[in-house]
Amino acid sequence: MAFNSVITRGPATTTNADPYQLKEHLDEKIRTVSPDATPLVTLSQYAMRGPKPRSHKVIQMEFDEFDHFDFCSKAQAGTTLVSTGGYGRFARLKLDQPSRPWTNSDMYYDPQDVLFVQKTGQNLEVVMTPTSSKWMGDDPSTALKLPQTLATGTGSNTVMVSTCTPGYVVVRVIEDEPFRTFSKSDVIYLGRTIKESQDIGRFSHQAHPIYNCNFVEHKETTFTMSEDMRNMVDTREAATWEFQVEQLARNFKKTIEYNFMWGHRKVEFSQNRATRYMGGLFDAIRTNVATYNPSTITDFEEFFMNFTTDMAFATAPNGNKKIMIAGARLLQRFNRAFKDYRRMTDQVPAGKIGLNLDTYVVPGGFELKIIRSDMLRMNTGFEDWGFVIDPKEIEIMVNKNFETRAWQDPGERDYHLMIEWQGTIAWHREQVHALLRTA
Amino acid sequence: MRYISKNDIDLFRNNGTIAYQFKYNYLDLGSGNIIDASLMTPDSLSLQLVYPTDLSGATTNRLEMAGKGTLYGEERLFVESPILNWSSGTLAAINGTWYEVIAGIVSYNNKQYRAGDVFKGIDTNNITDVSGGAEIAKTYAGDNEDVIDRRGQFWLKHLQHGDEPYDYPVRDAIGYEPRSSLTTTDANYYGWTR
Repeated sequence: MAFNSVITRGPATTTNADPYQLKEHLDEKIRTVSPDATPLVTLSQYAMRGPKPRSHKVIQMEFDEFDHFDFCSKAQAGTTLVSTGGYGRFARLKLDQPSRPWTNSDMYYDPQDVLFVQKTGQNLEVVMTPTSSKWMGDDPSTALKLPQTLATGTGSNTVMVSTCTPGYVVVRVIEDEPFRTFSKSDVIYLGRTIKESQDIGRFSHQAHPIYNCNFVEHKETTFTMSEDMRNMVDTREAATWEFQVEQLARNFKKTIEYNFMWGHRKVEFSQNRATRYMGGLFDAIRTNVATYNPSTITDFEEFFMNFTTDMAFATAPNGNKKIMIAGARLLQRFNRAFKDYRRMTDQVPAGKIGLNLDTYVVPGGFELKIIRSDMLRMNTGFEDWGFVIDPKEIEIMVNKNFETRAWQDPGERDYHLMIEWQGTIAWHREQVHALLRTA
Repeated sequence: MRYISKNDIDLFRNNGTIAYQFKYNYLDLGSGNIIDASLMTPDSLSLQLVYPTDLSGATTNRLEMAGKGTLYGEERLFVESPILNWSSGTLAAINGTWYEVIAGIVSYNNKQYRAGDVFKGIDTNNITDVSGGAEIAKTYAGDNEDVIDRRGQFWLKHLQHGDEPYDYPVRDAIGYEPRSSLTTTDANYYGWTR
């Protein structure tokens, strides 16, 4: 190249600087923005860690204890059912046994069982069930017989029968007084009262546990980078292998957390390899769900107190404290419900005003700590939702805990990376959790 | 009216008090009584309308908004499920409809179902009241992965090989259909041994 001195006239300004020689000032640090307003509060921060699952289906046994409360949805007095009279102390009750529907076809109760009726205050002795009737003497031949109309609600006054319709019992008032009529009432079971030196009875009741399960889900995420991109091109952090892997892992961990919340329990057998999906918190909560409309509610505290008493603490086997993972707007509404309280303090606001309440004490000694979580993202349909959880009833069982594998196939030059997670959650007693949601 | 729900829901008024309370997934208000979702005075006593979607095209139908509707609208908060009316002790099943025995014993396709059992209508044969005074109502579709009852567990584990052409247990359509007619691509297929 010939000698060529590049000299020009005029002032040097940014318009005639050589762009190739410009040095930019680029901050080396990447500043990340999350879609979540706060660091994510997740279920696994609170849940217990269980053992490694030993099969694809994690089964557990649950047992619902006997409930002494029953509900009588129909009561017919003996005087109404038997026109000839003489049955004023008798009545035919339809007992729903809602807590044990399986017993309804043959009735849990036996003759000589005693029931207390909330509406009238009377004690009633069961004298006839769908399978037996009370022995008036010492042997079966003395079994009580009652008019068909009293035992079954239909038929003849003169036909005498010794069993009644399934789902019903015939009772007799223990006190020397007529049966007091009512239409519906709660009923409490008081057990069997026997006569003096009565022979030992043969009425047996057995209890059964029930089974619940969840399935082990296998998730993966992968990334591929070409050899040239990885080894040949010198780039800033954002384009490097390390950056990509880091983000991949972060996304994947969040994915698992969302699965803990929203997964649906299911096994898909329609191909030759089964796909198993684990049920998340939303799927697990079957009993205590309250739906509310935040825009029409006029007394949030009243509502919240009802929700906590009725649902959040309907069952509390692990003590009186629970946690609510709440959307931002729900927490805001909770605080706003007590906005007048800040005027009751003698503190002089020192440049700050507002209210930051997060714990609600429920009558009965229960305490609910509300924690904002952007799992229930602000400005979405979830912002008014809240999950009440008892962490002791959530057991995360992991087989593969974010295991990674980097590899190159023999015939190709691309670099691959895979991250996998395999595990499930054993939801113990779902009745301890509750969900407060909007439509 | 009798209502069922998938959860033990409470229906709240605008003032936060509870208007209706489901227990054991149902609420029976008795014949002639329905969940009143109409506007009341003062407005704070009205039921919170949590399903404001215009489900039927009629924006004034507040009951519809509150979730009343046909049974298989499962996205609804609750649905009507009255005790079905037997005519002379029998009732024609509806194919694809699920039933729950509320009380007593019924028979359908030569199998007996007792209170608490759930079964699916697979044809239009009659459901018969065996015990007298039996009650049935429509219910939500069963779920293969739902809590498996004790009888089913025992049956599956101890009494079946898996390829039986018939004689499935009570909850037949909850994952225990006869295997012989299934292929490996069937959703309910499980391996069998004999």
